Parts: sequence; structure tokens; C-alpha cells
Amino acid sequence: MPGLTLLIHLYYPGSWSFLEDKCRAVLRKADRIIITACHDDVLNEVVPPEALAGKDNALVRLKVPNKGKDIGGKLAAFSYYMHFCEKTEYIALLHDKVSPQTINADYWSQQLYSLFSKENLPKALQLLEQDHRIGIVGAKAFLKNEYMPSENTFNTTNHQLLMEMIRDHRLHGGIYDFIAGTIFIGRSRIFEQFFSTQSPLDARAKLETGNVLDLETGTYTHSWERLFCFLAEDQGFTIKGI
Amino acid sequence: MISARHIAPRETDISIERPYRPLLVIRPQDLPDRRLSQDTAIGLAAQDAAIGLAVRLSMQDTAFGLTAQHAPISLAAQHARRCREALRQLIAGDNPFLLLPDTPDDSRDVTLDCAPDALFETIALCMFSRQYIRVDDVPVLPWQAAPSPGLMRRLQAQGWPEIRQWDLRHAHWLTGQHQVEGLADTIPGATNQPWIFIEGPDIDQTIALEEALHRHCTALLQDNPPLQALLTEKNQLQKKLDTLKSEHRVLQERMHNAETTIGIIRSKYKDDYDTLFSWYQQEYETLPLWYKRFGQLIKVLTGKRTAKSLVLAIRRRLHRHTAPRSPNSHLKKDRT
Repeated sequence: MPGLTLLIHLYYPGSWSFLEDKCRAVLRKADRIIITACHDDVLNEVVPPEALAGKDNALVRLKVPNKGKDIGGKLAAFSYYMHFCEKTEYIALLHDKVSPQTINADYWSQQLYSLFSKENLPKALQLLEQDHRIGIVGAKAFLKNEYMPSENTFNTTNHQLLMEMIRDHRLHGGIYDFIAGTIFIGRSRIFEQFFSTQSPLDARAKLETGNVLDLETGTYTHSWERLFCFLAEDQGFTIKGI
Repeated sequence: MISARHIAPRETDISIERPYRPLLVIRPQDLPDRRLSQDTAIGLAAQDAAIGLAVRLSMQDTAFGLTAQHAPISLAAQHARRCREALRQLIAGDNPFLLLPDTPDDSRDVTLDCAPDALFETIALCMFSRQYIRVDDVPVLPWQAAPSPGLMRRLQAQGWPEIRQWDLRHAHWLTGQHQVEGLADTIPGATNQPWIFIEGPDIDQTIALEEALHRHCTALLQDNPPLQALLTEKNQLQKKLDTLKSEHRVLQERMHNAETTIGIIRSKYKDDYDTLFSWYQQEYETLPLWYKRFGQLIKVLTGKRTAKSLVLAIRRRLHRHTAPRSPNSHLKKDRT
């Protein structure tokens, strides 16, 4: 069984070469890459990594409508993975973290991408191999928890939607740690188990269109950002930051 | 059985671009080869009422790890695998293609008023392919019986502004050699390069029909050079127009996104600044002066500031206190 499937969503032109530079280690390590983007010019920039040259079904490019930002692209990629790919041990999620609306966007992207650096990627994989309780590994600086157990609420504008989704999907995580930014590596079987009964595309259908933010009101897009990790907790795994 | 050998340019040596866009009607299970046509002008229309179901069956087959090495597999499972592999090749390939779902799936769950997942997801995934046929960036769903509203709603919920429906009864069809001549005569007069569905009794005869049509059109155009020149120019202009329209759509979307971002930045940057400023006021400015000055000494001791810079700052301050005051000196602040 090949080891790692990488799901990447790109929105901005020029992102591929940026990721090639920042996340070279994971691009080399991946046995399969599923790339989603909203426009042809972005997809045209993608150059298959040398490690994948000649491999059948190793690099797939999908053109998806601009819905749910990177989460929408990743859910479309999950659907493709579930339907057409041989299953791998691990899945890594990545996107071009630009966030032009934030003052410290560079800090965000550098911290998040550090997981996939030459130094940290082997550490993350080692953690997953050695400790079977760990389900997802991400950047430590973005391991977050918004849950307030005493009040049974989430300290975020997405509180209502999160409660609704936890109820609808019958999740029993309890801890509710998550990796903000949705850039992480995790065990594939977490997502395979969930998406074998729930359609990723039905989840995608609910996401908001365009460049949506959750500053004032909650969104399905930002709730799903948290839910990926809640799925792991529901299945008894923990979330780890490095 | 179709293969790269079958639909690559052949001995007819036709160099003239087709004045039509061919769509070879194929069954996905007829596409077992690892490579599709290298002639990317050849479009494929995958026909199978049970494509979705086949893919779902095959998916379960993979999920449970039932491979040929482990267990004998049924004919249905073999069919499902071939379908899945063919669709995967179409989605990742270089040939334009579309699906021809016969009809709304009868097995749909009426209580949900939606199409069964297998068919819906297969269609949606095909529409995510870069090669799936679109008109003005809108994916096309051809049908012989109108798709159910539930299916259309679910597809549209994936974010396409609309799904263009093609009623196959009004499409151009080529199903027999006797139609070639008549069809070829109508093509040059068409406003756009028409899509032509080509379907023979089997895949070899389908390919033969396309060859015949291509040969006939080529002969027709070679006999009429001005018409050929006009058609070539028209097609080139059409391609340019399509490219410009597509670029325009992308630019509009990006501009809209950029405007939204600017709107957010206008308020959010101010909010971020206010938060930062209040934090600074509360955490630093309220501290007594002696504490802040003592802090400068600690900075020097911990190597975060050079002793020289601190001495220079003290000298400047002393000089300011001893020098005669200028009329506007009260406006200057002590920036320790």
C-alpha cells in the first residue's frame, strides 16, 4: 500500500512554485497528489514532482467552482480519492495560505508549512507510526481549542454551526482540539471511515461561495476547518502539534 | 475495444482541422487501455446507464480489499472495475469528454428527493475534470429523458452557476455510413463548429464512421479553397473569442474577490490596529518611567540592545535637557 496521498487546493496564480519551495519534502514524499483549483491558469502552473514521473494516476488536477475556499477543494479531492484511488496509510492536506486580509499572513503560512519541512515531516510521520493514538499532526502554534466545557460552547462565531454539525454527524469528541488553517497530516482511515457513509460532496454543497470569512458570523466553511479534527477525536484519536 | 492505436491519426493523412467536434459514443468498459487517444480533437461520450452504480460497486470492492489475488471476482465486479478505471482515465486524460446518463436513476431514494449518491457523485466528479465539456465554462449534461430536479439541484449546489442541459433528441447524430454525405454538407454552414455524436454498432465501426466523416469534410473543403480559408479563419476567431471570454470571467471573479478583500481590510486592519494599540497602552505605557528605564538596562544585559545605543540615547536626553528650548520643543516627546 503506498504511503501518502496529498490533497492540495490552490487559488492564487504563482502558488505552485511557492509551495514547491516551502513544502518540497512532502511533495517528494507523496505517492499521489490530487490538486484542485478554480482556474485553468493555476492548474497549468503545476509541474509534476520528479518522484511522481511515470507513475499512473499519481497527479490529478481537478477544476472546481470557487465554493468553500480550500475546504471546498479538499472535499472534492476527498470524493475523488474515495472513488478512484487506491487507499494510502496517510493523507496530508495543504493549500496556498495567503490570507490577504490579515496583517500577519506570512507568519501563518510559515508556521503552517513548517510541518512539511525537511526536518519536521519525518518527525510527524514518526509520531504517527510510533503512537497509534495520534490521528492528526499539525503545526504546534496552530493547535487550538475553543471549547469551553463548563458552558458547553465554542468560543467562536461558528459555535451554532459546530453544534449543529456535531449533532448531525453524531460526533463524540469531547476535547475538540483542532489544527487551525487545515494544513496537517493524518491517518487516511479516519476520513475513509467517515466519508464512506457521508458524501464529501454533500458536505461541500453547504459551503459558502467565494472569499468567505467568519469574523462576524459563522460559516460552514470555517466549521469544517474544525470538523476534520473532530472526526479524528470521534474515532478515539488525538491531535498533536509539533 | 478502443485504444490509442485506434483513434490516433491514421493513414488517411488528413491534415485539415475538422470543421466539427466529434464525440465518439463509447461504453466506459470498452476503454481498458492505459492510454486514451493522442488526438485531443477527438471527444468521447461515455454511455452507460449504470456508471454511477458500477463505480460505487467498484469503490466498495476496493475499500474491502477484494483484489483479484485474494478472491475470484464476479462479472459485475469486473465490469465495475473497468468502468471505474475508464472514468478515471477520462477524468485525468487529455480528451474532451462528457457523460451520457440515460435517465434519472430509478433506484433513487424518493424520501430524500435526490439522486442516488453513486450517480450524482460520478457526474459531479466528471464535471470537475478539466476535460469535461463546458460551454462558456458551464458544464454540459446531455440527456434522453430530462434529469430529475433533485439531481440538478445537487449538481448545481457544487457551485456552478448553472448546468447546461443538452436534449440529445436535438443533437447531431451520425449512426450509419449513409448519413455521412448529408451531414458533411451541412457542417460548413453551421454557425459554430457543431458537436456531433458518433455511434456505430461497436467501437471499431464508430471510429470508422468518424474517419469517413472527416475524409468527406476534408475532400469537400479541398474542392473549395475559399470556403476552407473562411472556415479556418472563423474557427480561429471563435477560439480567440472563447479564450477572451474565459479570461474575462476569471478576471471578473478575481476582481470581485479582491474588492471583497479590500472591503474587509478597510475595517479589519483598523480593528487589528486598535487592538494592538490598546494592548500597548495597557501593557507598556501605563508602567512607571523608572521601570521602563530599568528594562533598558536588562535589555543591554540580555544582549537585546547594545550598550553603545543606550549610552547614545542617554546623552541625547541629557543634551535635550541642558540645551536652550526652542519655541516648539514642548511638542517633542521623550522617546525612551
